[in-house]
Amino acid sequence: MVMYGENVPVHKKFVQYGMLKTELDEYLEKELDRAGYGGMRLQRVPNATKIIAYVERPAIAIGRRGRNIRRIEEEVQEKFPLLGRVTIEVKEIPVPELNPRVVARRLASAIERGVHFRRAAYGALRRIMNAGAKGALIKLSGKLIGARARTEKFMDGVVKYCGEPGDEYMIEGYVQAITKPGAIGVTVKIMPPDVELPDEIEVKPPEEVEDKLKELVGEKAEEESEEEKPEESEEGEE
Amino acid sequence: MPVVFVEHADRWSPWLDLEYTESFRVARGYGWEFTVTGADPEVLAKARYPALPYSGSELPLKGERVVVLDPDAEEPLTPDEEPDVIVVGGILGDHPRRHRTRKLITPRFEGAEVRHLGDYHFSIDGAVRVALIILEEGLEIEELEVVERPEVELEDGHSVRLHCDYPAEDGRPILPEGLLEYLREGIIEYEEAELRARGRGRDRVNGAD
Repeated sequence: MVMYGENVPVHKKFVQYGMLKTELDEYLEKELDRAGYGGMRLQRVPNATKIIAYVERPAIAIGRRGRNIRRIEEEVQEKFPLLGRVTIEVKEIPVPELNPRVVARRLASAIERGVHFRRAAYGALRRIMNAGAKGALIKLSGKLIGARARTEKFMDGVVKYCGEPGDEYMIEGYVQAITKPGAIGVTVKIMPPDVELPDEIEVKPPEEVEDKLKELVGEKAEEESEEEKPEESEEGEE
Repeated sequence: MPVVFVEHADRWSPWLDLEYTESFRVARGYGWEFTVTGADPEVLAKARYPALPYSGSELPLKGERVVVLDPDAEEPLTPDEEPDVIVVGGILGDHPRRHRTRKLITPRFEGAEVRHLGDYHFSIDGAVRVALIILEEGLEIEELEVVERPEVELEDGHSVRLHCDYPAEDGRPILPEGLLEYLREGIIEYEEAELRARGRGRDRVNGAD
């Protein structure tokens, strides 16, 4: 499947691909909002592009007899011709509390409904941490109360801003809450439970180390004796 | 005695009140008079500083040298100027900017000098403090220590980034007295009323989330 024009420079292909992914993501977010959209993944399969959409409630996303998802497939094909034939697979998010987009949307809708921002943010943070996350950061920005804007940050556990752990492990979701005084930006960053951080070093007890050491020393002695044997046989042949 | 006018142009809020009170304290500290002009009934009822219900432009200012502080001005405020009146907009601001000082306040003061305070976006008390430092201590705006959008840690794991710039001392922003307590604890009664006024549903400040 040729996605881009023949004479497009490589760097532009990357930009095109990034834009396409963002536009597709925005489109799916709009269409699958009621189903609790939590992100997507693009997969190339022979003769088609497979989109895996993660949602909280797959039944709503699929619709009666798959009517809704077929409609979305057709629309995506029409709107994004570069993708070619499109199939959408809907998958349920196993733990919604660990999906930053889902958490951000829930928080934004709580703020829109009139829940006090501090209470809503602490509640969301508690639920993320109870779901097993290693850390979480919630950032609310805008006119939260009154006419003066500010950015409030709520943090718990391990949160990395930069370096490999910040780039690779932290997952981020952003949603806007629309309130009367203006838009409030809701950013949620989560450090998932299953990541192994570079500073997490396991120190083994001496007994275990000794056993391992003996094992290794034993292995080495065997190897050496094996290496010596053929030499002896060579000598014997001579 | 020279005077600072803060032309009230926003709704009353505890934060605005803290900024007005701090501006009053700063102005008096430099020996200037201070008045909130164009105050609405809510401000008049709650003010712990001089406040007038009409705009400063309605006062007899003939012969007085008036300087309006407007971020859209072409020239900066310099220590050489000797104004009798400084006008500051009592505006909390928007993003993107709505240029309300230029639209609402500057045109009211015909014949006034219009000056800016550099590329910074100061809070109301910050603008009053910076203007008076320039005029009274003879410092240029470039010589001032300013912290842009300071982040303040309120408690473990909870911090606030302010969207204004503040004059600073030894790297620490000079914030209005009582602002940190307000940010830390809020004012439940005000916040309840605010959420109701916004028409965002039931009062949920103390309800389940």
